[in-house]
Amino acid sequence: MTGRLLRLELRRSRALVGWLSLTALLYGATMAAFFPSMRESAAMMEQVLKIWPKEMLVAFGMDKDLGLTDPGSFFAIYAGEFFPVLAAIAAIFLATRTTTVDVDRGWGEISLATPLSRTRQMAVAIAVQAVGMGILAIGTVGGLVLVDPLVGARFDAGRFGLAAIDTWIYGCAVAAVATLIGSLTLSRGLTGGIVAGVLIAMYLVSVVVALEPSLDWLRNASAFSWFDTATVIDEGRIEAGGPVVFGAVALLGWAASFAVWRRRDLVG
Amino acid sequence: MSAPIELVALTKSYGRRRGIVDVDVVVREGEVFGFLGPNGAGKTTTIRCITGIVRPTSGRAVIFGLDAWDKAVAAHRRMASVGSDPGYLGELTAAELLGHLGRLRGLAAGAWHGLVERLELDPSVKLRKLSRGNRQKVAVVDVFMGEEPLLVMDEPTSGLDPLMQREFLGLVAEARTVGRTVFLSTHNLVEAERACDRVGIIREGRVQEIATVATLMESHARSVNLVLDVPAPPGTFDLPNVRVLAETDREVHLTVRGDVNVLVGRIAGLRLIDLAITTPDIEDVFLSHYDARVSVTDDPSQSGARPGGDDAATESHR
Repeated sequence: MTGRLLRLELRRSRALVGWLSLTALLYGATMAAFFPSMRESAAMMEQVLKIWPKEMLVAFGMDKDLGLTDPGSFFAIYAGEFFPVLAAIAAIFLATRTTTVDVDRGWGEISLATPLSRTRQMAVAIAVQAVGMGILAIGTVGGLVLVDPLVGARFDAGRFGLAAIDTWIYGCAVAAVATLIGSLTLSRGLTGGIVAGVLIAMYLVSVVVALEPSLDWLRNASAFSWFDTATVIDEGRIEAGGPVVFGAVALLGWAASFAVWRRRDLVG
Repeated sequence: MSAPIELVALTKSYGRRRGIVDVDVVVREGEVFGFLGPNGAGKTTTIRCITGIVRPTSGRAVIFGLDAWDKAVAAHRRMASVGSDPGYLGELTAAELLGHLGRLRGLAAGAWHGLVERLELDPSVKLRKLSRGNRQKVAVVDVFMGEEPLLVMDEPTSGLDPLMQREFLGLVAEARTVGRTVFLSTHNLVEAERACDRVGIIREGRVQEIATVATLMESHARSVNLVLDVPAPPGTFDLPNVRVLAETDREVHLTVRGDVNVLVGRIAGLRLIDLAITTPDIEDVFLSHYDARVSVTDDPSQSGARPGGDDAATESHR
């Protein structure tokens, strides 16, 4: 029963996940194609960047040790800016489908008119999110790795693989939060607004903290402070902090979603 | 043995909004039970409590002895159900959808084939391309394709054409023949009258009356219209169970409740040009619960809007 439901839900997800992953893949490939020329002209580019306002560099995640010749920094700038947006889109659509759209349109009621438990229904929804985020993370890293041999960027595929895991855990955390909010509100609009709003607020926090050292105590309140793929690529090891935090958020969010879903009136 | 459906003081409110209040219904094994009421009366909320989609605020819905909320999965092994205007996945064909739902219910592959042919439904068409009536056929196939002993349907014939409504009534009759229990909500009174052994009438979330269709109609007044050749002597219609609604020298319009023999005895002594006795139908009974301004119980002939106008009649008294 679970397998059949999972197949159907994966089928329903393929367009969204497929197109987003393809977008990530193509974007990554394009960026990777730029990397060799970026590396060659890094000194000049860094000079140019120095004349940009600090606030602007901070806002686009380019304020750290620029190191444009360093794949880790390059990926951190690319993925750090791009993946959170894609992950949020995917999370809002995937994580709110079972909890909001299907309830609203009546599909949830039809599924539950069979001997399908709510627990199993939620488990399938979560599995689809995890798979979807995984494919998206692979797409995000895959474009870079695929184009590498063509342009001689010399990326370390193994380290980029670890970065994909890091990225996947982050995506799962966003999806889990969206699932929980969707279970509580049964509204895709509200859930999407809250998730997007919180992520934007967190991003602004990370920018403000970088500009204003006296607000450094706020740093840990932002997911973007924990999303560090540069270290993974530079040093080949995952910093425990980020994945642990995101993993905990994912597990707690999904566990809470199970609890809410089992008790929720499913009326749109 | 436990009843297929037992609703015990079932109450559901949505915050301040009323859902249903103290609904007590026992549906017996092998019967077809109709749940009548207009939109917003509480039919769908009752069915959602039965199917475990919403949790009762108080009271219980019990399916074959299983609590519909706590033991929803076990209850659904013995119950096939479909809501009103079900939200099927438009990207699937009818065949894919019915196959999927059939497998979730543990049915043999293709369990839906015969019914699809019977209802003249093309299973290869994507659901989003189907008309409302054809989507409703899918719902009918969905609920009847299994072997569950209890079938629960929320307004199953809405959108079906008259031929398919008749086919649906045939399916209900066949289900009853093999001992299956059917609980259906409707505001189609003709359908209820034809299909149901008993009906419950719900108004503003409360069950007003539960009875067999025959008893329900017997307990309500018949309408009698007399056209007289010679005026009736004074006091002819002074009977405890008779109420004269309108009277001229030559015409009398009255209602009689219960035993008609005494009235017939009085009429026998009159010279008549015409006599019409109208038995109340379920629509009259239903409307009598809904609008005191239209004295349907007392005067069925004045209710108007009868033939084929079940929805219209219901709407007009909402």
